[in-house]
Amino acid sequence: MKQKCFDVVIVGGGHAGVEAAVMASRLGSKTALITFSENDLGKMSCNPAMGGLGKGHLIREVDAMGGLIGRASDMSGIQFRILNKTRGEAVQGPRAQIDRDQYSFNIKKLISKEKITLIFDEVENIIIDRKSHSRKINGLFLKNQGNLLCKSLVITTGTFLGGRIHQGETSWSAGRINSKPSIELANFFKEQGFKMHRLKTGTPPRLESCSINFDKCVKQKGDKDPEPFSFLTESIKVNQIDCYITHTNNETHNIISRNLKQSPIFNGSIKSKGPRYCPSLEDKVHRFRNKDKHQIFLEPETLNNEIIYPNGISTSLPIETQQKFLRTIKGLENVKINQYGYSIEYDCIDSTEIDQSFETKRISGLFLAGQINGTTGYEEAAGQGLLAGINAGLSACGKSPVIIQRSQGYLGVLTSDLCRGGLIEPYRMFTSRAEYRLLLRADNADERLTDIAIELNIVEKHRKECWIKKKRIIRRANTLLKNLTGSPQLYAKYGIKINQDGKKRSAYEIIGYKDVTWQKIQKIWPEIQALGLNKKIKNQIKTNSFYDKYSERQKIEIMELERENSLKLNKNLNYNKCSGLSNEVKELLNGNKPNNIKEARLLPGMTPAAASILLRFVKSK
Amino acid sequence: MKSNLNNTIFALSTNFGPSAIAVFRISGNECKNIAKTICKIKKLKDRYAHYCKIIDLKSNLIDKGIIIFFKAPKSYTGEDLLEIHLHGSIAIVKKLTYVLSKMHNTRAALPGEFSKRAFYNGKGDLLHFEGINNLINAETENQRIIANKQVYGANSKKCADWRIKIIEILAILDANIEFTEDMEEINTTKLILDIEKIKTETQSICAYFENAKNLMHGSKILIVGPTNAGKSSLFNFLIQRNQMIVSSKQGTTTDLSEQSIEILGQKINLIDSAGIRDSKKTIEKSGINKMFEKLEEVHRIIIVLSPDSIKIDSVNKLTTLINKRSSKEMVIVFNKSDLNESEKGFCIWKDKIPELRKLKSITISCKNNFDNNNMLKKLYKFIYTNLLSVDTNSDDYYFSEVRQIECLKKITENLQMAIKHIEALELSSKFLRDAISELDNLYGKHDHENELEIIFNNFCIGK
Repeated sequence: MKQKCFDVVIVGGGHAGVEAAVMASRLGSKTALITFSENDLGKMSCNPAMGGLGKGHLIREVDAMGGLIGRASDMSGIQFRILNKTRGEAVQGPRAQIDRDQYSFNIKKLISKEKITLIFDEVENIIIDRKSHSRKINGLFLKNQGNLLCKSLVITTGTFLGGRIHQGETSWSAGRINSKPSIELANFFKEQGFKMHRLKTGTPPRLESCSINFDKCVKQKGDKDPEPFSFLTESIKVNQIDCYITHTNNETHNIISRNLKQSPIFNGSIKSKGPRYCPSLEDKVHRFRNKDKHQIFLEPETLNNEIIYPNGISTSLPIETQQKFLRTIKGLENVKINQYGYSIEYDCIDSTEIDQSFETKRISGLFLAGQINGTTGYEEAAGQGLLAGINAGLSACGKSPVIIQRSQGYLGVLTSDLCRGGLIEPYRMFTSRAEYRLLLRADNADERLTDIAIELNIVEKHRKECWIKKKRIIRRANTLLKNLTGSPQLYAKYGIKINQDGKKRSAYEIIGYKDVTWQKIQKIWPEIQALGLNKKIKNQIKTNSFYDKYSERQKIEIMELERENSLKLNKNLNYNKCSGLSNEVKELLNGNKPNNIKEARLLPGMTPAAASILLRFVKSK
Repeated sequence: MKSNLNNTIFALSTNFGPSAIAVFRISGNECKNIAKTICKIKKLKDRYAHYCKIIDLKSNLIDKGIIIFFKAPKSYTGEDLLEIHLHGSIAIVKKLTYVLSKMHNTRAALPGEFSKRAFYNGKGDLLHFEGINNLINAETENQRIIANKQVYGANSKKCADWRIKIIEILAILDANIEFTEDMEEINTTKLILDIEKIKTETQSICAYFENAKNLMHGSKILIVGPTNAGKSSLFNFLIQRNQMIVSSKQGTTTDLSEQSIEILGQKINLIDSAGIRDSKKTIEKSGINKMFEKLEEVHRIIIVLSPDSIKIDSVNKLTTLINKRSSKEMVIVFNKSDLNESEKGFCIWKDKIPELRKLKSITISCKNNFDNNNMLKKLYKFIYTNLLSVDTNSDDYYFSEVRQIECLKKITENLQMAIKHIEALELSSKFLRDAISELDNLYGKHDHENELEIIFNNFCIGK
């Protein structure tokens, strides 16, 4: 029998797996994606929404590098809203309700345009090459199709590793509702000595739309002018719908309090850590007893509006109790439940098992992405999938990995937070995790990342053309705006108030002021109008200029960091003489002899603290 | 400073010179071996005073003494630490130093290395070790009180207190950014008040820094005046020693001379200077120039005047000098009260330079009072009250180092910016973060989960 041979194989067809497969195949690797069934591709297993603070940023970044999540969301979005719209651009997060059926459909459609072999099968074992000390991926064994060889393997199995669902006092093994878990893979990681944790997450019951009285709820409309996720989407073509808000009340809380003992979280059957930012309703009621109501967002799961996802009341109470408390809620008095809420416990791998390229330190050629690394969220998964896919592809053809830095994007923040380790709960992105928050905005993800992706040759032809054109326009505009300068008196003449300090300021600086419009500066300099900038680009320049004022120090820090990274490390350097380093790190450095600080920072086991000690040592030389 | 943390280090912890006892300290992995070799103790008890023979490498007796072993991590450095107490003889100290240097993997400690190791091993923050340095060098009672506060945590507690308060405010801002749909409308007025409160504290510490620094490192007092007014006599009187040559000739002193003394518990660096006049002698001229340069850096001045030193050139120069300075920085000593009609002379001075009336003054005769202890006390009290007086009980004097104050100034600036931009949460948040990282520089620590912890414990979040 002829053995099947691939450069890169991806296991799992969720949000991480899909992006990983696309990236690997665009890099020219012969790529296969293995999943149980076609239905699993692009499945949204929890809430029918994409984006938000931090998460919306991630979608823009994945999109800027050529990923699918942004475009698929735009094709399937049924209510778009920019969160924090009245606040600064750096903390605005694009978010949308998504038709989950459409999303799967569109992901399949987009994948079909890529060169990816889809294999519907189950992984029974992973085959490893053992050579003296090192272990390397050789391939895998599938239940139906047998042996499959590959150079790189990306595992993106989400909550399926040793998954167990809890609902009241009953529990059973499952990857998500109605799907079986991956027991064999969980065993594989245990056998190979990977450090593992058990995490927990939950999902609310799904409600039948026709049984809800929406008149009793508060209507929540989307933005009038829906703003797409993808830099490639001109406008949203899908029909837009409304969401509704209702609240729990004291009666609801009483029922929950009385039945707390039946909740697996409170009766001790679930010991693993759940995310604090996504607590179950029983958690909220228990911990914040002084609150007399909690918000519930009633979100349609699809455009035809048959099923409602009640966001904010994830629960693992017994099904009778779920029905009982739901019916105390305004608008839900006669609610019919389509599927009950549950908690799921699953195995994840300690995120320090991977390095910054998402390759495991134990087995070369093996990459992990998504919830398996202890994260949560579609967007976090997609981001990891993208990066793991790129690096798996690069590794398969013997090239060195690409690592996004914290200063370049939330993708970098995600990467380095994971590698730093010590996660105590499922990891979710927040904008406050980024020390360069003012620079890492949803609006400038393309400025930050698209060039990197173009260089790797992983973006669509159309995206490349669009970005190069946009970049040229912005550059030309910036040059002109920075060359036009005026005194405070000149600006005052046109009704722009600034400090009368006699200092000349450029048009670029001035447009960054909140109350200065393009109209005003075009009056002073008509040549600006001649640039013919569209609204989007005008906004972007204005936002750039606004944050430039506050990010100078950060930019210097980043430059300093880059300069540090390029500091050469002499091959003859004796790291034993570097005081303050642990013996493990000294050994690591003496063994690997990195060429520069950047390479040293990337060594597995190198902590930020150790890196800064090393830096001081090198500088003192 | 190149140092290898793997070495075991040793140092004489007491002064070198004949004394009742000398104490050696040894820190590092070799402590147990050293005890085995030079004390023949196989089973070292932790924190126990072993009385034993101390021998050299050929088993000859060096001395008998006490050794105490502190097992890691419960020691000053956080490593194994050995203390050897012997007689404080120069020969014994030399011999033991030699023996220790011949042991395996040992070397003499670099300056401050015990504390550096302690810092690396998390035995204290930067403020603590800066305080220890101040405590060791404390000469006066006030220095000791402040250094105590620095060493035993009052400073660190203050920083930790600010830090947690800033993080609490930051948590509110960030929770409003991240969980915009879960949060109630933000109350910026209250936030401003909270930030303002911290800022007032850091600001007042910066304002009092000069005092704190002077208390810790000594205030400089410059003695100035016309020639032959008796500046050097006053200098000698204050330091109670005939250090400066005094004579009735004008221009006897041609250079600056400095001496540190303690006045009522406070360290003073007293500086004598050349008398002010239009001199043609090069040496004296450059001495006078030096005095004027020195004037720029000192904030405390004693003007010495005598009835027989009134000259037009010195009157003019003194007038300019006095007009330039704040009256709080200057006092007058009217010297030579023993001369006939001295009162009249002093009145002429006040007529010629009316500004003198605004300054506090004292009338003495250095010549007659050199051995008069009461007069000396009176003079000390006069200088202390009018030039030095500061309240050492105040919390504001904890921070005495330039490095610390630079950090505090930046913290204050960032808090100010956070207030200014409170309506743009992301900017305000950025400035609070900058303030925290400056605080971390001040005492050294960073922990991001802290903030999330507070967000999650205080707000009900989760859509």
